[in-house]
Amino acid sequence: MVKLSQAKAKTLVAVHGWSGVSLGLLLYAVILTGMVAVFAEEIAHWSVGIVNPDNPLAPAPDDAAPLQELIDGLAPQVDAEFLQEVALGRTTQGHLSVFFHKHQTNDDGVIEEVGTEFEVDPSTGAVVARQHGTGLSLFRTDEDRALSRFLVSVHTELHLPRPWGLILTGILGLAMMVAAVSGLLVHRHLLKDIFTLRSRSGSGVLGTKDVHTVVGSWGLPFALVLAFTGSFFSFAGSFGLPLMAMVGFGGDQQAMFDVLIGSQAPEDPRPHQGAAVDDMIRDVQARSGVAPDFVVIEHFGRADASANFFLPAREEGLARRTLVYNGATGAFIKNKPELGQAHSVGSSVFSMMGPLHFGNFFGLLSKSVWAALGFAMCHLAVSGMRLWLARREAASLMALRWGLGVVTFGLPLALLASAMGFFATYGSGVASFWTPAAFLIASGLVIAYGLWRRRSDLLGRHLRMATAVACLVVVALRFATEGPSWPAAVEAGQPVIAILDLLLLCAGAALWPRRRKLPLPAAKQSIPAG
Amino acid sequence: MTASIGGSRRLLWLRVALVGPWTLIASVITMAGMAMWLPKGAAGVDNLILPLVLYPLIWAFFFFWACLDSHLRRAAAVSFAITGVHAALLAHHFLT
Repeated sequence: MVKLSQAKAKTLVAVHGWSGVSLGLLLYAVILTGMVAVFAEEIAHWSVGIVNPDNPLAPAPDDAAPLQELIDGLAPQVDAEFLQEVALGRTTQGHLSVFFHKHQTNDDGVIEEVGTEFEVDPSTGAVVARQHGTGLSLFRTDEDRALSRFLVSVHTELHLPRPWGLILTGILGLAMMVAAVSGLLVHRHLLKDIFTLRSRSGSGVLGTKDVHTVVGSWGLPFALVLAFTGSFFSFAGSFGLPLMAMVGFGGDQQAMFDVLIGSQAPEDPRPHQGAAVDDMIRDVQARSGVAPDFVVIEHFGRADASANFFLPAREEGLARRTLVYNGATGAFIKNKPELGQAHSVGSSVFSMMGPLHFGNFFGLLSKSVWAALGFAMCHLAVSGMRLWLARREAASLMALRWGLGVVTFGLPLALLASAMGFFATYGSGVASFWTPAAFLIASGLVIAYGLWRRRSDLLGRHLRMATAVACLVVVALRFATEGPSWPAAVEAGQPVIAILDLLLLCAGAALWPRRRKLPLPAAKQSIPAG
Repeated sequence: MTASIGGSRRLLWLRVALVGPWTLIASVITMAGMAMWLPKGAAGVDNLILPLVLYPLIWAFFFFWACLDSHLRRAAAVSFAITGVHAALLAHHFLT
């Protein structure tokens, strides 16, 4: 291993401890919600019940052009100023979303999309909903995604306002990277340590330390990948992109977006009836073997129209592709990387960041592996803090000791409460409010209970029991609110509903405390040097 | 003895300042300045995207250097020199 002087090793041990302890509780919150957010898409489907599983952007039979007819029928119903661009996608219910919009700079200097969205039942072609607003506001009021959106928001921004939430999670990512690197460097016998478990039960300080070392050593590459990609996303979203827009384009974000993600077709504002989008989708299917899951037609209705077809990530490995067509003639132009107009080192590296962070490059299998490794990281965060506290007995650390006891099971309990809030209010139009509200109410109750029982050794046990019960209550509530049965979900091609129910039931059973009491971090126990 | 303790405490705080706030400032300036000398690549965006993607590693480099270099002055000199060069490149870009 890396040979360090005693002074440097001592410094790294201090850095490892402080980087984990100073932000450990928040880091645990981000990792735990990240573990859940990996399944955001599945949770969205699970929470709304049986939906249309088909891709509404799948190719139509030969010569039929239902999508183009639909677009042509909807466009006259929209103010002309919003016909700059059209985005086609799939809603959580499996409906087709047709969003006519323009780009504008808001009061905060941020470019946003504003326009009219139609939600269309693809089987009948009937418009089931029509909304007007910014892309972000339409997304934020989408009741179907209230639960999954909230879980992702806690993970990415700790549900704090932008950019502060992003900056905080970015700092947490850096702290995780520091803990991982310093943890690796301080190991004098890494190869020996990763196979050493001196306590059979894994409990007690010695057992906790060995499990922490083994999990940390095996999970090190994953921890580094998560920390690196996570802090990239947070910092790029908060200040990185605006800063690079300032450097590269004098602050003109639109110019930057045109270069990074635009199609850069030569300007030609003459009106022109576009080529049928259905024909282009058939060509996309023939070229790539998959149907797109998102389509953007820039300069809609003009001679310089450009149609961009985004292919689903899981079918495409690490790099997500976009096929670009001439929107006026329907001719294929190029296979475009996610960023920039041609393949390059920068666009390739950027394309890998998302799949590496979200684990969505191989469907449910890779997501499950990512979630399992995320669970291991949660264990690392909690066991690391327990070990750090076990070495110290200062009265000033009582608050941290109490916080660790409350947050470890209190956070999953509050997240389950948010799911209860969703199921209890879904369909009444207030789920977007009650999902986070239920989380906050449950958090308040957990903190109040923690304060009431702050001197009790049974606090952790009680919270664990409550979390176990909450797992069962969420499943029961889903059934009670007319959620589909397991056979019905499987028959409808959505086994994920039954799988998530079963996972919750298993989690509830596993969390139910055994007779043995959970050891709380005791002060001043001797720990052999690692 | 008191002077020695006071001196080491001052050095500790200087290192904390170097490791904490200064590292954040230095890494942001270096990230922005790297766009001036990195090649643009086939897509013309590598000089903007690579510093953005590499930002966590740039920060980690400054952080661990400032933590582990036993000579505080040398650690500060390296950090100031890298940041200074990139700040000068940015100043040249915006002022000309």
